Amino acid sequence: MNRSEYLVELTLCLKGLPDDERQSAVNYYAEYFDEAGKGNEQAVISELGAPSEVAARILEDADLRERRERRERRAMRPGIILLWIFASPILIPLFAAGFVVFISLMCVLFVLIVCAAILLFVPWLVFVVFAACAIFLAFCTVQLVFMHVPTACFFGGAAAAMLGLALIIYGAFRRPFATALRFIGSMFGKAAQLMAKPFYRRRNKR
Amino acid sequence: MAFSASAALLDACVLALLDGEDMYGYLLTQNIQKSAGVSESTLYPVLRRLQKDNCLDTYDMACQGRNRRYYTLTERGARQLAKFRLEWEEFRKNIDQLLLGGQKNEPK
Repeated sequence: MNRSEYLVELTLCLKGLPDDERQSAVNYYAEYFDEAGKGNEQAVISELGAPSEVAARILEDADLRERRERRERRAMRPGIILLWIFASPILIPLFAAGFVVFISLMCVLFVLIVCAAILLFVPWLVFVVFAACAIFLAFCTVQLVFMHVPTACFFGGAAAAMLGLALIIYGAFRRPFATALRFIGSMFGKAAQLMAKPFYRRRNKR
Repeated sequence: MAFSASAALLDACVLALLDGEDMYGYLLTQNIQKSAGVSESTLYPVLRRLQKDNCLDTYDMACQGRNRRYYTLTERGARQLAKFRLEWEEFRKNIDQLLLGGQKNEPK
């Protein structure tokens, strides 16, 4: 047997180990051969003993380590479960309270949004009412022209006044309304972005 | 030799050898094998175990066209070594007393 045959056999004997563990062990013994020098191959092989024996020692040690780790993990588990049980009288009301607070916060947010929407639409309601009045009065004016001209003039003036008021309200509230609409839209966009962010990050990590 | 080092003693010897000087596997083996009475192949599991327990760290260095993996003591390894040295002192005193004669402990 020479160096490379020895290392191949060692690799085969360590098949039960994870790849990196096996590679690390084989590297170590390859380095050992190199350090001993080319002429000492046979001496090293007889010193080390059969590859199966070397592998058995490594496997035994890895097995011991793994069993110890598993035992430690198992010892941890009942302790943690017990801890949860003992903590439950505090934790359950705490979680319930947290849930209730969350729900009420959501309700408040909803009401605020509805109020804002109503406030935004009030000027438009007023505008629509004034505009409707103006149209109605203009219609009356057209009818009255043929019956009683002074009354028709009065109605015409009223219709013009209504139209003026409607236009003033339209002019005054057009800009803020559009700005507010854009603002709400961007808020929804930002919220959607914030909610989507964790998913993107998680996917990137994977 | 009739005596050989136990697993814990081997751990302690490896840590002591690396105290103050980093070494590679072959050199460590040559140093330990002479005095501890263990075979050449027992050292790798020891090194691997100490490494897994964070007592040792490794780094690679090229030397004469090949790679040498050096082992170095971590802080935790140094603490472990100090503990081993204290315990060894105690153990050695007791065994010396037993083996080399001297006064036996009278039951009180």
